[in-house]
Amino acid sequence: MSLPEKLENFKINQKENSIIISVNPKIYALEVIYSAAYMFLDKVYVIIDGDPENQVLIQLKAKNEGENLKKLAEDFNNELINYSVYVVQAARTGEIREAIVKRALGVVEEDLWEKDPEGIAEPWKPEKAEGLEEE
Amino acid sequence: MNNIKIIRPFKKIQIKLNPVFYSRSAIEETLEDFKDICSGKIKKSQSNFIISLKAKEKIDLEKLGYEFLNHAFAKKKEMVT
Repeated sequence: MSLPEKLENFKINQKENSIIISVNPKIYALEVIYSAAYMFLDKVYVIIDGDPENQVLIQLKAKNEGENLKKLAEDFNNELINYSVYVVQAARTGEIREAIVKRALGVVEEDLWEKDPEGIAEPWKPEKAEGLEEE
Repeated sequence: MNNIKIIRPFKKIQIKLNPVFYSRSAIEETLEDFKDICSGKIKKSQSNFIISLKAKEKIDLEKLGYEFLNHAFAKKKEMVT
């Protein structure tokens, strides 16, 4: 499938064994671009340049000869989407995760601790125990 | 994008980086990590960081430059996310 010119956001330079990918920072946050590029560090050398307001340019230079550059660019675009979804989901589920961690770590809300409705903070005294026979 | 310039007779490399995407602290930490392989200096021009590296031993200069870039990028990424 060939993409319309407007959607194809990369240029391949076979001679230099590299590609330059253009990313719109209004669609993908800088944090997402960094994370996507980070995934390719074992395969390519990464350089980021451009204008953070209008167009971010990412150069990926393959470490090995014979790397499929077109596939590399397409995989990079997929990673951009992957991390965008992750960031959105993380924001959406942030409060739930925080609550789970709090519960797991036994963090008690301050006001509940002060009220101590179950009397847990009271030291246990044997004379107050019911059902225990005296020796 | 031509961010690396190699000056072979002097075993030197010049790297140009956009300060919007790379921080001075990330570059300084990278220089520290590479101190056994090369020495280096950072200068700030109007719109870029200019990093000059001088290899301490016989080494593939192009590879050194690009590995330096990847390392600086990784440091910056760790600071951002």
